[in-house]
Amino acid sequence: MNLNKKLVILFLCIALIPIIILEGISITEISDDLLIQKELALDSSLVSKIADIEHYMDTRQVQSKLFASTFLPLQLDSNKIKDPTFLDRIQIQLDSMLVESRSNAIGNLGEIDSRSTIESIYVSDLNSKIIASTQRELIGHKIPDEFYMQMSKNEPYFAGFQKNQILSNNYVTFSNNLTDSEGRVFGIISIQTSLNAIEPEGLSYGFENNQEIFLVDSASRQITTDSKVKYSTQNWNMEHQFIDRCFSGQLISQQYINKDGKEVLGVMKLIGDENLCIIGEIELEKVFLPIYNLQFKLLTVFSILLAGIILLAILFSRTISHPIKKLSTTMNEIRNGNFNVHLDKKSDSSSNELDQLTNGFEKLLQYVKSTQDNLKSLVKVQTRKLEDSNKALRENMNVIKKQQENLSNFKEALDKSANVLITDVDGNIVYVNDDFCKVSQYTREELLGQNPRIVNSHYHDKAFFKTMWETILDGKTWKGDLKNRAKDGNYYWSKATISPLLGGNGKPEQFIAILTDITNQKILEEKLSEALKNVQESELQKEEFSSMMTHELNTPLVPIKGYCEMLKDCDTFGSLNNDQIDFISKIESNATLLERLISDLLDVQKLDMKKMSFLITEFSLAEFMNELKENNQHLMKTKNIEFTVTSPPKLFLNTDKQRLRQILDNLIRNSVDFVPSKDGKILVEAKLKEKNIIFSVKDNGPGIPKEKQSNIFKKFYQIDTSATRKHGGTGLGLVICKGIAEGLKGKIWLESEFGKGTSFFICLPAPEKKIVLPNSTQ
Amino acid sequence: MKVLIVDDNQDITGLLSKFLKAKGFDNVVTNDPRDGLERIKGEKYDVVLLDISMPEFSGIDIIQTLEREQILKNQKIVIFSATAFTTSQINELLKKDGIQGCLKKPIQLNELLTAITS
Repeated sequence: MNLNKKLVILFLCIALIPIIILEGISITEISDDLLIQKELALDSSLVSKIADIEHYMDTRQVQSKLFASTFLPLQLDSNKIKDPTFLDRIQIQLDSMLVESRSNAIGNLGEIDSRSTIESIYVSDLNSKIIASTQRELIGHKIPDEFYMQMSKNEPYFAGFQKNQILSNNYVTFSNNLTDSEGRVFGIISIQTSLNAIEPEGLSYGFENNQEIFLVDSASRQITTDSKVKYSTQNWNMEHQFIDRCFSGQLISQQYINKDGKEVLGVMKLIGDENLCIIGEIELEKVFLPIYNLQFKLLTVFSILLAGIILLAILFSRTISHPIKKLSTTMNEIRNGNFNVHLDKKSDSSSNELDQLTNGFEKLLQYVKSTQDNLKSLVKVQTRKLEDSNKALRENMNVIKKQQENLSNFKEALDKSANVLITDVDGNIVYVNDDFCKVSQYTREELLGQNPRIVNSHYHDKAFFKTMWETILDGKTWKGDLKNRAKDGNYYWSKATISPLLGGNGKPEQFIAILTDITNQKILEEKLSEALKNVQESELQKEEFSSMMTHELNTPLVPIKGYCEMLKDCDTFGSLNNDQIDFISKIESNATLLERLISDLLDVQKLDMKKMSFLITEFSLAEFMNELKENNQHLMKTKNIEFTVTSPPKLFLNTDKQRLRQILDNLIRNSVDFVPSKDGKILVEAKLKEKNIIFSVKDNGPGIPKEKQSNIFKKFYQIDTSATRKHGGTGLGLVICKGIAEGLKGKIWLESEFGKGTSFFICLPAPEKKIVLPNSTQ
Repeated sequence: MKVLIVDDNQDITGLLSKFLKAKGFDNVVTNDPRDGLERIKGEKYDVVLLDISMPEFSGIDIIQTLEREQILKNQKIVIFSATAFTTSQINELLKKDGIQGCLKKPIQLNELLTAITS
């Protein structure tokens, strides 16, 4: 049984059981109470009705006794009534009694009191034969036997109901015995009144309309009234025992089906001592009508309630069990692996726990779904990656296979081309190739398991091997030249490349040494290095020698020149004759030549060894040119040369002043030597041209033939060797000029035409920013 | 005026001594650089003529010692340069206080006079 049904049943039980119990209890109680109440009400009504009827009957009985007493004066007896004379008298008396009673029945206003109205009075004998009557037609008729049944009482009595055969009408008859003087009964006097007189308004007057009242006599004759207050008699068709019980003095109430077939409650009561019973019937259907109505209403309400409950249950099942069922179904779907299920999204703000549960579940589902999707896509991606990896792996395998082939080829090549040695991480030899065995002169068996120290020559120091080990243990390749010792004690050199073979953890597992025999090369190198050392030593010696030589050569010149100068100083040391002065001058000029020669040789040597140093300073070009002019002026005077020096005014130079001076002095001296002895001209110019300063020394000498121009900057070259003697040149001047010019990052060249003079040019880079106004200097 | 001449070469010291004497300058000559140093430390000279290129204890050693002992700045010294020293070395020396001038060997005597008297 599912939750839904359980819920519905639970609701029904909760709602219906109390209702049914309550209804049952209340209806039963109400109907019982009502019945009792009705019975009591009927009973009390009947009591008052009985009193009324008894009063009426007593009145009539008293009247009948009164009427009987009126016959006493006649002293009648059973014989006399047979006498016609007495019969007439009886007749007359009866008539007068009737008249009198009728007149008494008329009220003061002339209305007739129907209850008091006597229809007829008759006298019957002991044979039940009417002997005298106010209604003549009755005389001779017999009266019913039951009229006599109570004669013995000697009291007036209710005789019974009688149908007047003549008048075809029903009457109530009251009788009284007629007795003679001795008290013997000889006849009966009876008073007949209309049934109407019992209750002119009808028997049911004063009762509820659902109650019917009627009278039943001992002969089971029933007297009823209808709604039109019409009295009728009929035989009582009910079971006789009820009447018997009633007449026996018991107050009874009984439910039964009446003559109309309706269920009724009957209450029966005896009226006085008479054989008359009054019965009140209540129609149960009408009594219970309000209850039935109530029941109907309750039923209606119950039905509505029931329908409501069922609806509620359905609603609940929809709101509670339906979502739960949906959840359960969804869960089953999910358990079966179907994630493409959906729950209706509820409002997040809903306070309904089920909605929240559904939302929560939906979120969970979405999460699981997204996780599943992610997982799927992840799996897909991973699968693809795996496939890619597989593919790459296969490709790699091919590559590796190829590499292995290459490697084996490579190994072969390596084994053929180099000495190969492999050690484990502890330095034990695990592999050597044939070449290694050959060069080390050990067999493979001797080498395997040994440390490579076996070939150590002890040429290299400990630091050398420490560096090597640190390098390769660090995972790097070490390269170097190794001097090793073969088994026979001979040394051999190898160019070694030692690489660690790294394991999976990145740490070296083996070391491979690839060694190339370089013994011959090393021998050559050693020789070369020795030769170089020798050269260097000799160079140094040469330098030291030249330095020493210069010093030593210069030193003797100091006193020579000094004393010559002192000798010429006539003012201080006394005068010499002209020849002596001439000799002294020759000594001095040769000493000077020697001095210059020494100086030039030194410069050339410095240039050759590229040891010439320069002192770069900043100076004014104009001042420099002026000094140059001043210092060379005396040279010009000796040959009367026209000496012109020009320069731009505002220029500063950044170079070695002394060396520049050396060049220009040299060139000027050359020009002085070569200008003609008459009208010689020398022009020294400095010009700024673009980013360079061009110095030029021009003369009007013989010029230099083209074919000799290219040799002019060579050592000890002189155009005319005879000129050496003439000019006293060393043949090194121009070489030094070229060397200095180049050392100052400049150039030197000449322009000359034979017979048209010579021009030397020096080009030096001009300072980039050193153009300063002249008044800001010095 | 009192001049100290320090040079290991006796010919040179002889020449300079005679020349200066003839020109009227009192002078003391020593051929031992260490003796020269002691003399400079012990006595005040107007000018010291100092050869740079001397064996064992050079003129540069003397100058460095004087500089270390804070004497150099109060002493006027004219040095003779030797070709064994480079131009830049000489220029370094010339920057120092007390170094008056540099005469390049072989010396022009009139240049020497100018250097002493200036």
